[in-house]
Amino acid sequence: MGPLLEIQDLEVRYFTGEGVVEAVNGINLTVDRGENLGLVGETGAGKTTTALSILRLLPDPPGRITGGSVRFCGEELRAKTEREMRAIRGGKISMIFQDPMTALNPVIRVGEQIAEVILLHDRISRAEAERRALEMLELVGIPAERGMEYPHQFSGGMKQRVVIAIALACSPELLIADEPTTALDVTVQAQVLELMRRLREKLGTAMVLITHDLGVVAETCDRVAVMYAGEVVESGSLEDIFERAAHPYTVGLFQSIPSMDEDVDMLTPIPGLMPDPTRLPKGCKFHPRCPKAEARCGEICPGTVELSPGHAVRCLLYGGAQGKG
Amino acid sequence: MTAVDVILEGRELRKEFDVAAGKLHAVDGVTFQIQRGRTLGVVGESGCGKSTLGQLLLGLTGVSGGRILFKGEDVTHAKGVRRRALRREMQMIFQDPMSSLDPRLCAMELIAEPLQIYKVCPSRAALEERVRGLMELVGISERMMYAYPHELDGGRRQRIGIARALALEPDFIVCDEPVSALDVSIQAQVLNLLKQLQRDRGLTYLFITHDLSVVKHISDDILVMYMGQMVEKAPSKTLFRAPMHPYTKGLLSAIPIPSLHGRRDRIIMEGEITSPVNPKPGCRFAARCPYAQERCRREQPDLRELEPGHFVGCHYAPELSGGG
Amino acid sequence: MKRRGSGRGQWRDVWARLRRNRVAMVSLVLLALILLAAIFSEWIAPYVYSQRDLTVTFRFPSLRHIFGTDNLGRDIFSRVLVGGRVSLLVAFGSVLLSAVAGCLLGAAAGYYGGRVEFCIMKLTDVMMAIPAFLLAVTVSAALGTGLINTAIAVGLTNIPRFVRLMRAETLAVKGKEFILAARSYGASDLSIIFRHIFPNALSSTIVNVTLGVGTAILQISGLSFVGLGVRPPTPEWGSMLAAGRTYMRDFWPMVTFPGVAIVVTLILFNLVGDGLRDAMDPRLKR
Repeated sequence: MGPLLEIQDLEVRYFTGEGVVEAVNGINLTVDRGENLGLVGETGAGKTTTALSILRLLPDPPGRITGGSVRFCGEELRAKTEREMRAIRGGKISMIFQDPMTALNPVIRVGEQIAEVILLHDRISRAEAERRALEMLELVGIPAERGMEYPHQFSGGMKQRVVIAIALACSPELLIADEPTTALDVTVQAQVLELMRRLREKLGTAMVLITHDLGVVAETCDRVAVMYAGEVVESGSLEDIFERAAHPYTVGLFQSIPSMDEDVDMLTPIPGLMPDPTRLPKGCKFHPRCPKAEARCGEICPGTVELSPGHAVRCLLYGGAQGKG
Repeated sequence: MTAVDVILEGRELRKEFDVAAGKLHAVDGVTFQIQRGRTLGVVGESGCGKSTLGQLLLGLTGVSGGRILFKGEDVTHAKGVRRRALRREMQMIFQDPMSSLDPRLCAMELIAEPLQIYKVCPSRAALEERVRGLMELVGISERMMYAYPHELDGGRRQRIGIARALALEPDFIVCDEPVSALDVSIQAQVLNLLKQLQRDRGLTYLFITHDLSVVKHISDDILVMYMGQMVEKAPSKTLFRAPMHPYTKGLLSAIPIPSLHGRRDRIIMEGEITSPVNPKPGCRFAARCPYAQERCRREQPDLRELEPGHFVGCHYAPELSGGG
Repeated sequence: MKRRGSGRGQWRDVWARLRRNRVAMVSLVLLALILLAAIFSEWIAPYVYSQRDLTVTFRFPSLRHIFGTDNLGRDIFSRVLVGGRVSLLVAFGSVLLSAVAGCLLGAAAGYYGGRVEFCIMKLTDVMMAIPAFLLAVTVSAALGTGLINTAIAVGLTNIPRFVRLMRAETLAVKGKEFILAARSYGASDLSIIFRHIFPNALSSTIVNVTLGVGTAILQISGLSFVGLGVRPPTPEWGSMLAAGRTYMRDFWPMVTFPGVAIVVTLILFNLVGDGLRDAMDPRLKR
């Protein structure tokens, strides 16, 4: 049995009036069954675009997948018809968005919103669907009787629980969570992360967790992929990334975060800014900001090198000069 | 007390808002002092009253009770000319530079505005020179002078916000979540800039944030707020090493730490913060507190100085900390 | 990220964006032609607009009279030109009046709130409860006819729409953090209103002005049509329509040409207004 999700050389472009935005530039990712992959990066790294491409939910125009393949359970998702995709969305793959405040329809009772999704994917009676909806609510820690209430009667954390219940209602094999706790307060974030961890253990759902918060990754993920300017610059197990970070960008990211354990006077930020995605630098996309950049970094586009089994990095320091330009 | 150079002092500050359901106690009995050249961090979750506190200090909203002393002078109800003079000395940096910068003005105009209001520069040339200097100070290149906020990235926008706050050479700046809207790598750049400016110009900050790692990095003292009240106040190091209030403990343990070592036992607090509308007597944290006793629901705890400089508003803090 | 050469780049930007909008540019050119024709109508007009020639009444369009002649033998083309000058002048005057008064009142209502807002908005509501045309007729009847009085009558009736728009815009802008920021560095209420609130409300106001000019032309024509407003023999599109109405069945040029002039001018104003709104928002990408 192959991996659950396999993305190969995925390339996504946005064709805008200002030029072509090179949002995703040939990324490779795999997610095994039951595995929890953290997709880390800053604004504009292409994390959300990748997620939307998996479900083929890119706003088109201007966005278009221009190359590569996305295979789910061995089947090519890019070859599916729109009708087949609809059955997959919410059924086998579901997605959670950042803002729970806007993810729910304010005029429909929450119980009904969950039942709605179940009815879309399973051939069961309405009563049966509603019964299952209430079960889902209980599962995410909300008393079943609150299913009769409307979204505005729920707090932010509770709403995100409802969103999770909707996402898991059809027992999907893969859950894509795009910054699911960014809009929440820390104490509530801790509750929601704990809930997600418990549910995944129980249901065995694989997850792609998109976040900019390395702390969240450390607490919830098995494997990590770090994205920069539409490329996966480094990927590996938690230990690989947190203890043996190899790519200068990953290292810089860790140094930018004020430490809770040590006292440092000044932080060591990554100099410069994210590159303009319509005019990405030649060679390694990170080289203008990289403290270890050499002359060749501006010319050769590094290929992926495996440092140890499962720990891959895309940097000329570790070889990989044979990569395609 | 006046031996140390206290620049700003709040005594028993209160702010109530009338809402449909009754009285919202946004800030309730907050007392603190900030020494010149130091940073007081104010931490809390959304709705705890930390932003309101900042606005009270700058006179952007009127107080309902208590006193504000700036350089020893009572400025609680300063109006007119006095308020205008004060505004030169106390400035603010906002969270979201996209909404705190007028989208119709370019960088030059944005930074120049306070200077124009106070007629600091005698001529157009002097004004431009001054703006140029400020832009250099915060690290924006001169060619951005005529760029509009939407043409800049978040980091540069926030630098404009900082330049604008510095234009009048204030002594005291309220930083209201100045890095929350920024990516980590940019956040680190801005934090360093703020620290550097403080060092070079002897600035005093009130630093409002929900991000504990940021507040630890930048603050000398920290004030933790919960539902409008201060629950704990201590020097930064003490607070992070040995928090005493159950809320502070829960808050610290809730932060996801980007490291595989030193994972602590999680204290996961139940429930969520609600707004303090017509609060009941007793400790406001009691409903979520794992250690709450009968007395906590009855009687509001006073802030007690349990160790020198370490104030805690909890009936049982000494026992909880002593017993582990 | 773009760089600008010199200080006041904003209007140049607006112009650059407007130039890329083909519909708006064509409308602008046509509108400019109409305005120029109206301004210089006395020179352009092939005949004197009031010159009667009873030997050539009711002539259909021909090479000598391209729009034909009316019941008194006057050249319709010349009268449409001169009438345009009167219509547009009065319309602009009245819109200027209502825009200035309305924006000030609306900004005051939105910014200060409370009792100020209550009084202004109640007054506005009362004015809006009376049908606009009826109000214009009443004011016009009270003031008497004439160009300036017509402008005042029409201007007064159109104040409420500007008040309401400006109040809504002010409320929207007032909630933004940059207003708080402006207060924090000591800006006064007036400077906040003029420097921050007006410019941010400008685009919708300009659209409203262009639409307002259209409405005003219609109302002025309406007033003239019922015999208030501009008095004959001064030609005005509305009064020309009124005069032509009697002969509509047998002689179409007398109603058609002033009518077409009104409709075309109205449409052009709306198109230019739309284009300007898009061009004036620096946040809109081209």
